[in-house]
Amino acid sequence: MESLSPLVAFLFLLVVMLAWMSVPLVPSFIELLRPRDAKPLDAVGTDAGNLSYFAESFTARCEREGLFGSVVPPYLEDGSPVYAHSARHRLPKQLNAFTDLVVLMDSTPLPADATLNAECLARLTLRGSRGVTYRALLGQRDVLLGADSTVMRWAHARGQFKVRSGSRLYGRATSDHDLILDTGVLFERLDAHAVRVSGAVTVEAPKYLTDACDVFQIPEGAREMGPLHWRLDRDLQIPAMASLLGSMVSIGAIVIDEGARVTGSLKAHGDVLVRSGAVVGGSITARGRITIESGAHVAGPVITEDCVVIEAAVVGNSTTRTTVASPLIQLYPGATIFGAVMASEKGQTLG
Amino acid sequence: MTTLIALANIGLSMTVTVLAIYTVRHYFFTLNRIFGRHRQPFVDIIQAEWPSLSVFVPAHNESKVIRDSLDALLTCDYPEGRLTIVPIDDRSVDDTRQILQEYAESYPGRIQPFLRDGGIPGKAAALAEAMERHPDEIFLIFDADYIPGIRLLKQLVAPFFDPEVGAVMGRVVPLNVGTSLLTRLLDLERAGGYQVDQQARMNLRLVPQYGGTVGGVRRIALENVGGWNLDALAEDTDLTVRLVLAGWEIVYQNRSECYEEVPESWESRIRQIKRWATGHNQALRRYVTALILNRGRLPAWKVIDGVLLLGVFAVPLLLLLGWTCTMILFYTGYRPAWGVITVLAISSFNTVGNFAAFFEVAAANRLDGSRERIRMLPFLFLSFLVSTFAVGRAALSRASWMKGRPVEWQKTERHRSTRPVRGEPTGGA
Repeated sequence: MESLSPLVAFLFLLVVMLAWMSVPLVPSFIELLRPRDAKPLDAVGTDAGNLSYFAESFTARCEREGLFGSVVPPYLEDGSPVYAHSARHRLPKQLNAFTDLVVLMDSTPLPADATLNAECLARLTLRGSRGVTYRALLGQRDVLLGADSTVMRWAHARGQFKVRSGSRLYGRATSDHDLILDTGVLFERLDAHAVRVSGAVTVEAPKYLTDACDVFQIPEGAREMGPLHWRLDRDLQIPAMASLLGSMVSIGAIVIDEGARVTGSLKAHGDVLVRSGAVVGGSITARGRITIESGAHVAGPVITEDCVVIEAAVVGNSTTRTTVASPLIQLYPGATIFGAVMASEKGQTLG
Repeated sequence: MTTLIALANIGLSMTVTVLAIYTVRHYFFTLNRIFGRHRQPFVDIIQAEWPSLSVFVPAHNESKVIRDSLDALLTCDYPEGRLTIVPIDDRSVDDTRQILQEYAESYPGRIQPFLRDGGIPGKAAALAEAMERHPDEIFLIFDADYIPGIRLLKQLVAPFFDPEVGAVMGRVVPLNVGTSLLTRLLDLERAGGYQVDQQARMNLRLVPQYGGTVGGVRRIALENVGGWNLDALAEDTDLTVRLVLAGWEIVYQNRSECYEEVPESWESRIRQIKRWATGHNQALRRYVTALILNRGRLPAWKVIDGVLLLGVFAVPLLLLLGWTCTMILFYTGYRPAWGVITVLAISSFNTVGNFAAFFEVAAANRLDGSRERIRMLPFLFLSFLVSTFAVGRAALSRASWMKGRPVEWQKTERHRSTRPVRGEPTGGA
């Protein structure tokens, strides 16, 4: 070491330091020279925005595999077994959750508390027994889930879809016709011609013309943001039988009293209360809770970041479907939503 | 000498304060994305009576890419009777115009090209003229190299059901990721910018930025703020600030993703950054006073975020000031009053502050579910050095701070030669 000149020592230290500094770059160079993750992100999801996407894919698969024919093949193309259930053939006790497929050939009820870990095709009307668990279910006709049933991923009915009390619908539940829920049902995402909660008659909002109402005077201090579009820096109350012609944003809460009419859309930074018989022609958005009382009608989307409560009221209409979207959604008997109900945290029907 | 030292101390303190604020902001946003509630109230709107929509595709010499964009728009699931696609050709000298005419003939009514040969050049002017001819409720804008997915139009229109929303912005995802080191680094930067930065601002109700493409504006909101500023160098930033000042909300939708082609050469990237920086600085000069005076009665956090958003491209100027002040203090033999504290502060910033942006990018890739691309993170130093150089030059340019009017199209060079197959990308999302 005594013979080591200062220059050599310096160069030696420099090389060691550079080598030490380059250690974190080794994985970088490896990834650069031999890319393992250099493809674009799979950004454009095909299942987003179409709740019946899985049902459509499954239908196509069933067609491809010949499961709609008069004779069901015992195996799929990939060699997985197909289990047929009918009055004469019973299901085996345990099914493989990922490969095996169940075909319900007729309307013979499944045994109570059965668990179908496989995707299930019901060729005729399905009458589910109490406590049955379905992983995924496609009903070619009407579907009736018995009390305390569970759907783990998705269920779709080509006909009417009825769900008895105590059931839990995780994932997607959709129908080409109506989806009728008893009280005491938990759900996440629903889409149907109409989603109804049975147990009470839905009260229709009276169909008198907007002209029949007094024109609501825009409150002093409201800022005009555009034609028939205002912003108000405080609470808003639209009195009974008054008519707001346009859209309004309120920094506070909004109350639409009995029989009032709104031709546009509403937004509240607080809560929104739509009282009985009131009609909103556009959408309602709120940061707080939205409550739609019995007999009210909202034509457009209902969107909140907190909770939506719908009593025996109507959202959307039979010709124009719409969406109710909120982390928490509570539907009471008589609630009728034409379109989708999307609860990102918890949806439930209450008695 | 004493005055010089005092001035240098003030300059350095100011620089350190601003850098510390930006560092805290980076960490705050990243931690929000990791631990905070993901706010996306409109992404579940799948059924509705969709409003009338015009989709504008401004183009200037875009023959390499415009077909892909139009093909993708034509396959979108927006109701046909409510959708008009308006490609805008502004004085192209390549085949762009012929391509648009060919599409107009093939899809009469659905594609209605707007062809410009005169007037003020540039994207803002082209959009202003085209929008006058289309009285639809909602305007969406895509650059000519963007390839929207089937459901993207509905996703981007959904926030407009909220009458407070004036503009919406989707997420930009690079398509040509694996082409070069630069494209890989840009992929990381884009992830950080959108997955963390924009979404955190959305979560915290701050000021998500409308980015001029993969987004749109409500017609009456645009009219309410006086339309497009024809002399704005960054018409998107300019519009963002004016909408916020007027009380409109801007929504960022992280799940509304659209593919774009990122620059593949460093020259192209430097030009792009300089353009953004100059436009941002112009908007800073124009609107910072109005924001601080807060005549729009905005929440304080929104004002602070707005100022920080506008000031982001002026930071290199501050850095320059800080370095100058440091050198003055060093060569004048000035000894810091709190020596140990100063050394600790500098060490802390070097170990934590300098890596705030890296932390953000790493978190974004984690949220995206990417596994291996995070290995490229150390190379971001290179990208940041180039960006600092480009932004610094832009910040010193006359266009950043003086009045002026853009007289030419400013666009990014296109590299695409083959048409991508839809659905081909398979990376982890």
